Amino acid sequence: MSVSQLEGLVSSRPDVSGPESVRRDTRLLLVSNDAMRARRRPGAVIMVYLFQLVLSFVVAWPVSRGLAATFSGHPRGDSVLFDDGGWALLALRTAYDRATPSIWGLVVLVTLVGAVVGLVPLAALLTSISHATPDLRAPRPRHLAPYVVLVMRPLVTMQAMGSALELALLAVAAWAFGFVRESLQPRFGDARADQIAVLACAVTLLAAGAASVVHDLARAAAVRFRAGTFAAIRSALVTFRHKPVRIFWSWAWRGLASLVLVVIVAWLVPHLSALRAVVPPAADPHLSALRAVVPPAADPQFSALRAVVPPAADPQFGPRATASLVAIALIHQLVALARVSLRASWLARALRAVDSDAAERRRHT
Amino acid sequence: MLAVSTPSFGDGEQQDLGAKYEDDASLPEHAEDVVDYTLRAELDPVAHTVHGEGTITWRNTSLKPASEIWLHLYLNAFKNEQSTFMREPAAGSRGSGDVTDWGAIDVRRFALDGVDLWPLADKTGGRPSDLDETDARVPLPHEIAPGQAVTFEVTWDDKMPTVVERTGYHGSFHMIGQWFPKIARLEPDGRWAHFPFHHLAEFYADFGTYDVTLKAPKAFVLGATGPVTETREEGDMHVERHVQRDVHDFAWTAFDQFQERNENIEGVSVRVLFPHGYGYAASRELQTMRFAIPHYNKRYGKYPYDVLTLVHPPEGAGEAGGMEYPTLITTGGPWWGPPGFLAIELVTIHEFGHQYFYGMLASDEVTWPFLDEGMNSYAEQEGLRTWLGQGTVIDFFGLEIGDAELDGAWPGARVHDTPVAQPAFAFPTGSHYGGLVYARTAAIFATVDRVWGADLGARAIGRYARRSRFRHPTPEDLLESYEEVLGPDVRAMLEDALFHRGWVDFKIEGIHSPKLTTALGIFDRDGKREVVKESPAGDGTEYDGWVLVARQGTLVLPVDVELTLEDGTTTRLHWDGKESWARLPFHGKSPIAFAVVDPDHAVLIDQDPLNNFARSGNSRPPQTSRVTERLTYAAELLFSAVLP
Repeated sequence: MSVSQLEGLVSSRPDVSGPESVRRDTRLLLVSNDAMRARRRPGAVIMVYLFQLVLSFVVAWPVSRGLAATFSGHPRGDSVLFDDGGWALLALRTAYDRATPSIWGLVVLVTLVGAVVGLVPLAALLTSISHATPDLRAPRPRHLAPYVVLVMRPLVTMQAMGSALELALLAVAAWAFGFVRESLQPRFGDARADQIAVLACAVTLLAAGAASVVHDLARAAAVRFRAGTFAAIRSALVTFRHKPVRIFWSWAWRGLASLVLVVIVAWLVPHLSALRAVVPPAADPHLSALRAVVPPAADPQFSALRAVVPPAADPQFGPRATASLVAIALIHQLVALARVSLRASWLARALRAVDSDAAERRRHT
Repeated sequence: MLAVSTPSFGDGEQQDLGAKYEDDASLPEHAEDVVDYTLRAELDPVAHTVHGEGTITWRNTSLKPASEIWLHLYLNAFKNEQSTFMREPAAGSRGSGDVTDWGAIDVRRFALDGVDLWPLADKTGGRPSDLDETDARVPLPHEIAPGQAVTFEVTWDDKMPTVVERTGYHGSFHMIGQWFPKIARLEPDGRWAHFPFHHLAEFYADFGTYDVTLKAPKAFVLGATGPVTETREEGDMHVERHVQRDVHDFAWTAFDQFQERNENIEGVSVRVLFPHGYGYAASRELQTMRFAIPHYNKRYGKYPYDVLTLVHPPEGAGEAGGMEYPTLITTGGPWWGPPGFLAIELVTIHEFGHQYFYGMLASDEVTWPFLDEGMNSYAEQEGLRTWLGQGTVIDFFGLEIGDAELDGAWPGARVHDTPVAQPAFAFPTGSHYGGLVYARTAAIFATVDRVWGADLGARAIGRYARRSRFRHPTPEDLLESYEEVLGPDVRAMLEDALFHRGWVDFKIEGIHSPKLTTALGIFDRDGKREVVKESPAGDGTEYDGWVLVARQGTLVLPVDVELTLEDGTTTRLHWDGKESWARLPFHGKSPIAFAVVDPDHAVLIDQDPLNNFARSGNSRPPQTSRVTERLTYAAELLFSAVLP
C-alpha cells in the first residue's frame, strides 16, 4: 500500500469502513486526530501495565520463592537481605553462585518471549487509542482482537528489523566511544577524552533514539492505516522528516520523565524504610505520606517530629513491616503504571503525528 | 629451587620497651640505620629508561660476618617470559596482563673499595637452571664483620616496562618502583632474606636513609618518597633531591600531565598528584586522608614522616595504582567517581594503612604476607566503618555493602584449601591469596573485635603496631600482643584460624518449647496410684523448652542466641561455644517462634550464615514478600525499557 493509498483511509469523520475480515458487529471507527489520547483509554493502558506486571512476576516468582525458603527461618524473613552491610546478600551470592546463570537465562528467555508476545497488548493499545466502537465508546477486547490479528504481521516484522537496527546502533555507539577515547586519550588525557567520546557516543545514541521514534511511528501507521510493513515504515519516515525535532522531543521528554520518576522513587524508598524504625505503628501511614511530600529543605522540622516520637520495640517485622512493604509496593506500582502511561501518551502522539501528516499531504495533493 | 628464608613462628625475641604500648610514649624515634642509599637518577621519558648511579652504605647488623651480598633486581621480573614472576600462575591476582614492552635492570658496576664485583656476581642467585635474574649473589673480597659498615659504588640502567604490576610506563606517565639494585635484608642470625620476585609476593628490606636526586625534563612533574630538600633547573631538565630517613624503599613518579593539590593534615604535608580532569577523585582522596591520618595516629601511633604523596595514575596505568611505598602511595579509580561506589576511599585508606604495616613495621611480606596485607585490610575495614558506617564499599540508593561483610564472604570455601599464614608463593592461585591473605585475615581480626570487644581489639592491635614499629615483626609478635590483652583463648583461636585452616559454622539444630502443663500418665503418690489422662482446663500459662545450637569447625568462639517468641518479644541467651553443641534451656510466657545464633553477625568468619536461624514448626512464617516485590519492580523497569 502506497502513502497516497494510506491517505485515503484518513478522515476527519468517523470511518465505518472496517476490514472485510472483521465481523460487522465488532467493526470499529477511526477516531478523529485530536481524539487520539491515551487518557481516554485507561483500560488499554492498564492492560499493558498488567501484561508487564505478569511478565515481571514470571521472572521474580521462582527466584523469590527460593529466597523465601532460605529466609523462612529468620524472624525478619527476607528483609534481612536489605540489612545495612549486606551480609545476607553476600552470603546468598556465595551460596547460590551456581544458580546465577539460570536466573539470567530465565530473564533473557522471558525478555525474548515478551518482545514478541508484548506486541499483542501494544497493538491493542494502539488500536484502542485510534479507534472507537460505533457508539463512540472505548473498544472492548472482543472488538480489538480481530484488529490486533490484522496488524501482527507488520508489527512482528518491524520488531525484528527495529531490534536489529537498534542493537547495531548501540554496538556502533560502544565502538565509537572506545575508538574516540583511545584515539584522544594520549593527547587530551582520560577525562577530556572520555567527555568527547561520550559526545561521539551520544550522537550514535541519538540515532538509536531516532530509530526508536521511527519504529513507533511505523507501528502507529500500521495500526492507524492497517498498512503493511514497508508502507508503514515509509509513512513513518515521511512524518519524522517533516517535524523531526518536535516529534523527537515528544518522545524524549516522556522518556526522561520516566527515568526521573524512577530515580526519585529510588531515593525516596530507603528513606521510607528507615522511617519505619523510629515511629510507632499508628503513625506509620501518616508519616510515610508526610515524608513523601516534605521537601528536603524541611528536613529539620521532620527530624524534630521524629525526635518526639519514641522508637518502637520491633520495627522490622510484624504488621508494621507489612504496612511498610505494602506502601513501598504501591509506590513502585504507581511508578510502573506512570511509565506505561507516559509510553501510551507518546504512542497516542505518534498516532496523531502520522495521521495529521497524512491528512496534510492529502490536502496538498 | 626457591631461596627463601624458612618461615619462623614463635622464635621472635621481644625487646622490653616498657609496660604499655597503647600510647605513643613507647614509640622509638628512629629505625636502626642499616643501609643508606645516595643515588642520582635521570629519566628519559621517550625511551622510558632511567640511568642511575650512586653509593650504598651497608652495615652488617647480624651476629655473623658476611662473605656475600644479595641484591634484589626486581625490575628483571619483566625482562622475559622466563622470570619467576612471569612463569608463576597467578590467576585471580593483579599483574596478569600482557607485557607489551619488556623492562629490565642492567647493573653496570657494583664496586667495593674501587674494585668492580659485578663480573663475579651470580646473577641467577645460585639457580643455574633458572633464567630468573631478580635475585643476585655478589661474593665479597673479604668478610664484613658484625657492626662493620662498607660503601658500594653502583651504576645501573633501567628499561621501564609498560605498566604490568606496580611499576612501568603508560604513555608519558612513569611509575618508577623496584628500580634500583637493592640489598636484601640480613637477619640477625646471619641468614639472608633473599628471594626471587614472586608474582604474588611483595618485598622485605632494611631501614635506612634514602638521599636520591632525580632528573627529568622540565615539563614533567615529579613525586617521590620523602620531602624535597633541593630543586634546580639544569638546561631543559628539572632536578629534585629527596631525602628521607627511617624508610626501606624509594619510589618515584614522573608525568607531564600531573596536577596537584596540597594540604597540611595533622602536621603532615599531603600532596595529591593526579591527571587532568581527576579533580573530583583527588578531592575524595584528600577527604579520606583528613579522616585517616588522625584516626591511624590514634590507633597505631603517630605517623612519623613530614610528607605523604598520593599518586592517582591515569586509567590506562591502573596496575600502577593501589600500591604503597614509604611516604608515597598510589590510588586509582575513574575520574568521574562514581559517587556511592567507594573504591577510591577504600583504596586510599588501604594504601595509607600500609604506611604502618608495610612501612613502619616492615614485616617480611614474602614469608608472612598476612602481617601486612591482612592486618592492613583489617585496619582499612575498621577505619572505613568508623568513618562511613555500614556502607563502606557501596552506599547507593539504599544499598549498603560493607567492607567487613565483603571480607567475611569473599574467601568462601577456600578457607579449607590452604592456611592464611604462609609464604605468598605457597598459595595455589591469586584468588586464594586475595581471599585468604586480605579478606580472611581482616575478617578474623574484625571477629575478635566484635566478639571480645572493639576496645580490647584496639588495645591489642595498637600495642602490636607501636611495639613493632621499625622492628620487622613476626606472627609471634602479633599473637603475643593479642594474648597479653585478650588472653590465651583468643591467641589459640587466632593461631588455629591463621595457621591451621581453622573454621567455624554456627547452626540452629532445633527448637522445642511446649506449654508447661500438668504431667500426664500413671503416678504412684503416697501409696496410691493416680492416673492423669488430660490436663485441667486452663492449666499452664508458661512454656519450657530448649534451643539446640551447634558449632561445626575448629574455632571456639562465644556467641549469643536470640529467641523471638510468639508474642513478638525477644530474649537472648549466651553460649561459650566451647563444646560442639549445646542445648540451651528456655522458660517463658510464650513459646519460641524463631532462634537466631549470632544475631549481630559478630562472627564474620561464620562459614554459612544462612543456617544461623530456624523457625519453630508451629509458628507463623515470617514475611518473605519483600524480595518478590523488589524483583518484580526491577523486572518491570527492565521490561518497560526493552519490550515494545
